Amino acid sequence: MNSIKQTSHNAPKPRRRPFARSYARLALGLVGRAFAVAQRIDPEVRRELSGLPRGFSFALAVHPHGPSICLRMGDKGRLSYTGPAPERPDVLMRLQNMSSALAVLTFSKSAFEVYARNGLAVSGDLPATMAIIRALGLVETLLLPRAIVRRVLKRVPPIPALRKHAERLAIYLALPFAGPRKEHDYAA
Amino acid sequence: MQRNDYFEFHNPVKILAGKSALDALPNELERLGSHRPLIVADKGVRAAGLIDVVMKATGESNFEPAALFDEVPPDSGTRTAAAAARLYRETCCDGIVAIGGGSVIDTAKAVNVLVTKGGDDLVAYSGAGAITGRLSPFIVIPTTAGTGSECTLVAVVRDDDRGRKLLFVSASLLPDAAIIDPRMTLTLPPLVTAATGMDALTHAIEASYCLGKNPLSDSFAERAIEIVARRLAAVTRTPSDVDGRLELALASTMAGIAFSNSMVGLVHSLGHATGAVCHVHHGVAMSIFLPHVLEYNLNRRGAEIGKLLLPLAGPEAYFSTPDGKRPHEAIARIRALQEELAALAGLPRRLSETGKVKREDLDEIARSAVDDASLAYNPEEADIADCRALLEHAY
Repeated sequence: MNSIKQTSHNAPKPRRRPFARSYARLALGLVGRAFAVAQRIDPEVRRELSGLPRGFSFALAVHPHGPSICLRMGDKGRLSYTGPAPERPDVLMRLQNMSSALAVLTFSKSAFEVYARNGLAVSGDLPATMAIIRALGLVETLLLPRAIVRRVLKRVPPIPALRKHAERLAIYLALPFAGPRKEHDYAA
Repeated sequence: MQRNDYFEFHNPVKILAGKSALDALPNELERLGSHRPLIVADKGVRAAGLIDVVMKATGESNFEPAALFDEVPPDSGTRTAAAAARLYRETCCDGIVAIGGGSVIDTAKAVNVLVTKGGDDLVAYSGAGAITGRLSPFIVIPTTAGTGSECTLVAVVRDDDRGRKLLFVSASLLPDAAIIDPRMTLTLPPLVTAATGMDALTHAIEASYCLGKNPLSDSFAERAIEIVARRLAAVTRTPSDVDGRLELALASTMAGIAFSNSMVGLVHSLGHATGAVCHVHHGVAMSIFLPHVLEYNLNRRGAEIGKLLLPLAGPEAYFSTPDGKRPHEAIARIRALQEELAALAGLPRRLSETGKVKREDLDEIARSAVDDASLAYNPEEADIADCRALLEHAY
């Protein structure tokens, strides 16, 4: 009997989108790094995530086989970007396909809007997810121009301009050094 | 922020509705291949004689349940679901028939997850989209006209170990069939009729303006609003009105279909939090918060809220009201319905009238409300201070 994986010679083949995939990987990596840095320097982001227990991990992934990132709360309450998502993070936010991923990662649609249209599925603790989404909104506010933030958030968080620009500069300067941390660094 | 370029609408539930709909239960079980169903209910349903009503309606058939689990409490949790799942396994059941209100139906959904997927750990399945594949045969017979849970992909169950609510969202949770028979709601007292009716109205109204709204859910929502607005006070006044009971039950199901496909917003965030902190009846909380949250969302959803006036008040009132005044008139109609139900059944209009909420509870309710997942679907952002202000208005 033939292998069930064998397909007819004229069966259509999936048409990959290498550029979209590369962009999604790059954008997710930047979001992961920025999230980790923002948690260290911005008191509001820190406050939103303060309820997450030590060792708590949350991931953002593009379904089914796209890129992913994971962040983990270290023993000393510091958030670290740890690279691709493990098999079972505490919270997994899964962008259901590449179109949904690009809508969120190019900031053309809000994550709420994509979520409401079933483009984003969440498994795990929902109150924790709400805190993470609020923190993500703050990170976007720190990273992006106001015109874009107004498009992707229901309301722009009122961060004082001086603090926002100082933190934005600090985040961009720290991004190259906020790469994935190895397992033994989790105590940080 | 709202662009309607893609939506999903899913309702595979077969609906059997009418004055003798219960008689069809044995055929439906046979269609689904279930010969030894577990009945999930609560003590109130049993005491009201509703299980006897079902057994009488199916008396001439070969319908014979393998077991009855009637231990579901009002605010059901993971331990109850695990106990029911144990009974299901011990008695070799092959399907579930839920007879009850929201707590019973949500518990039955959780039991179905456990008996199909295995194990006793519901937490692993919590969240949106974590449950996949087909579950065991599952039929729902609602005994209230409000939750709409017979047609929703959502279940809320308390985590008894951690003392918090677990939310499950998955199309797999949808029952195979829902049986809407007015005999099951005839004995509802006026206060419960009024509160559950306002719950249905809230489902339909939030479905019509929250972020997941779509043309198909809109059509179900509009019809549900029209029926509730026309029938709720009359049925509360005359509980034995069988035709009115059937219409209200159908409106509740339609509102369930609508909000299962567009989800609900801030009214539910506040209601869930008030229920968790102060144990206020869900329908009562919905009724209290609905007009306040509509006013809060006017900035973002004025046009959609204005359109509610048509199903709420009819074409004459709608077309005689200037465009700009329709949103406020729609909210005024809801307040008028509230007043009527308060006079007819003693339905509380303010949090202070429930006798369960103290002003010092409002901070904790506000903190809890912003962590409720329904908030994600609300068009207007709400932080702790906004929720606290809304609670103060509603107090």
